[in-house]
Amino acid sequence: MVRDMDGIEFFSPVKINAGRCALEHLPSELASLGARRPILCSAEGPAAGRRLKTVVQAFSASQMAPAVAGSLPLQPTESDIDALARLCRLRDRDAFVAVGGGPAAAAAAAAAFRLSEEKKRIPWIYLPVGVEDGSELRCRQTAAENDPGGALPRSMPDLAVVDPRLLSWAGPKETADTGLLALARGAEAFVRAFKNPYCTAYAAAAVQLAVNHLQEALAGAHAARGRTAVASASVMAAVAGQASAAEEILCAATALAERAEAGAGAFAGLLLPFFLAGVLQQNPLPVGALLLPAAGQDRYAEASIRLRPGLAVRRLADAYHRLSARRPGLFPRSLRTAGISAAALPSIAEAAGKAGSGPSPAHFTALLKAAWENRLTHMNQEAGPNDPTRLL
Amino acid sequence: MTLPGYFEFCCPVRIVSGHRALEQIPPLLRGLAASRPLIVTDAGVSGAGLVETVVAAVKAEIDIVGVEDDVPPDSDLDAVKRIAGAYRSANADAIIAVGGGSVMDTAKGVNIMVSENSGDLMNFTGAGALKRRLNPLVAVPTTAGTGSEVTLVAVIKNRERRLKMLFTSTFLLPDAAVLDSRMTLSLPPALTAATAMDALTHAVEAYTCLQKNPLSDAHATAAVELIRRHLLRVVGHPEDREGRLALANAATLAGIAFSNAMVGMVHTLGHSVGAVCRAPHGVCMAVLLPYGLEYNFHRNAHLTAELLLPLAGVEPAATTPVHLRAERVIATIRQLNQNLHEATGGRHPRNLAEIRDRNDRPMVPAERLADIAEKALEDGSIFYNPEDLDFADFLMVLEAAWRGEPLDRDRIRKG
Repeated sequence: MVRDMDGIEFFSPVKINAGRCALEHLPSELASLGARRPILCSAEGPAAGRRLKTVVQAFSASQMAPAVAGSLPLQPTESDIDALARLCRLRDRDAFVAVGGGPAAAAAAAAAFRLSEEKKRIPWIYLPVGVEDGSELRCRQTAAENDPGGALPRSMPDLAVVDPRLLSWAGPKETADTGLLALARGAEAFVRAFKNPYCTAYAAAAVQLAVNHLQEALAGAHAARGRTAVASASVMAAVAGQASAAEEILCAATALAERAEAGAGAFAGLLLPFFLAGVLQQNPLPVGALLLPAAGQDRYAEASIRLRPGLAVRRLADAYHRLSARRPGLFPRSLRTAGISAAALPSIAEAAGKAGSGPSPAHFTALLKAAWENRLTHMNQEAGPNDPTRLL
Repeated sequence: MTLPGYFEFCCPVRIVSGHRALEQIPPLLRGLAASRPLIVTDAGVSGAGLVETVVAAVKAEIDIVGVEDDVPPDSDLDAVKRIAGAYRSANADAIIAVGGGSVMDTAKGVNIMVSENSGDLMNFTGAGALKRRLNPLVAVPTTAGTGSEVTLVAVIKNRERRLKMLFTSTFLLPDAAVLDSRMTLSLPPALTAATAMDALTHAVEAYTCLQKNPLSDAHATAAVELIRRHLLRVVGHPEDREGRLALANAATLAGIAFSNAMVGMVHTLGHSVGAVCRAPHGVCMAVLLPYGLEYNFHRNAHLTAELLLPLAGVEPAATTPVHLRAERVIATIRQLNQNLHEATGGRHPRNLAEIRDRNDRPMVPAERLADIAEKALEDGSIFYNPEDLDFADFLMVLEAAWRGEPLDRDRIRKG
């Protein structure tokens, strides 16, 4: 396929360090950002203290002595951000290191942005802990629209450090949730930004890592490697998602998770095939191209152009259903079995619409309805049992 | 996809690509709080009218405070000092670098001097000497090959002390790379071929050498695919704007890939051929690339094989058995050189002996091969090559590449 590259733009200020002993590079990375006195931010939680200890130990061979703000509430408010910024000022700190996504990352990003407005720019570093929802790299501050120089990603992290030691406390459910969100967000970014090769490079790497390592991350001898791959995929998908405004599945899945026992990752994995089936009806080309990162070179090359979109949807649906078959309680087979009623769909769509800046509630309703009615099965019935374009 | 034990990936350069991307420079500079840019370029770019195109695209919205168009072919300290003086005299607050690798390196050197308010560039040589952000720098590449618009290094000659100064820092990365099809439309076919083969080599070495990672792989394969789709067509139809823009993006993607994954023996030898014989970098890359893959074959044939799909397309990948794919990748690159040779009327060389200067004189005499092999021993890029090479190994590769014959696999060291 020839992709015209007129009018494309891409920007990701986030450096990614991932793998063994990644934490030990923190002092030199901070120094290269002009920082010497970091403050570590962490939310409350059972493993928070041990994670903080691991990070502090990584500084032991350096001259840096990080301060610690280790009890951020799970829902930080404006006054929590104020308190964190005040602490940074009082103790003359020059960088934030957020241990974990969610509240720690949100607080560090907001406090860094606030302080940067007051004086020189304060960098912040994000350390995933394996329970990420993909929103950590969201750019919260933009300047004038239609002004390519004006989008100021000040609250995006300067660096994301993925170290397997910080991921070891995440359980299989959290790890799978993180991986499924990375998979869904990466796939959505891939098809949304199809003509932008920079964005699709991040998205393709995220999809490939998540698909290939998700099962491995949950248990077994290579779980540490698998968790590193999944957490790296989460960061890459977040970069691609941020660049392509791929938020549809994330918003819908988050809204569903507020109404049911399953997590946002489970719902993202469940919704992904229905999202892709919707795109496929408009433009099958990007969905077909997704087969390459999702299934590898051989499957891609062997399939005809006509078959690739369906195979891509099937491959990604399989990735979810393999988890669902093992743990149906955590990864429901359908929205119905998750306890979502048809009557609840409009209000869930409404909540999803409010959470993002993209699709309308009507659009979300269509996606949720397709998933609730399991419309892929219906499409297959129309296609007939021997039609090679069957999705599932 | 191989997940390395540890990897780093970074490219904080804003990429803007389009047939009218130059028009985005004023808002880019405003976003960087700059309003008085100085253009840094060379006589060739200026003579081709490309500076006029840039000025015409931005002048309605921003004042260009000066144009310095005397960057030499090899960036040097005198030029950096002279242009830094012009920057200060004009009270400029940003640089727009319009050109190839030498212009980009010079602009980076100037930016160090004016941002650090220093008169001595030597204070900032090596890695990590810079501690803070420099003044805004917008890179507008005019060749689709070097990838300098997204690399964090600059090499500047100090003629007085007869040494090359290397600068490495993330702060050297331009704030933005503006890829506009108008900037490469007038590139002659042979130069288009050579620069694209330089980009292809960046991508292939990034994919097959030791510091690869999932993100560098994704950028590298995207670059290879774009070059496969567009290079021969653009060489045959230089006015193909979509193809020009695709090749510019391929070079940038390959630049991102190799600046994170590094390169190997093809660059080691290419740098040395350039240093000893002053042969153009791109044609050296084109000739030497298949030899690098052949030499490392026993180490990473599986990685080379994975390049068949982006390099040759779906049909060859689907019909070639796995164990033959790496060989086919090497054959495809040789065939690409042959096709470019024919498409450029013989100006694109297929071997080192065919590299000729403007007066049609051979640039790489056989009797200089030993000097080139000696020089290669000093080059740092060999550190990332999968297999080691000593003087005899380099010479063996050079002799085969000079004749244009495949390597004798039995003579390759293995471990």
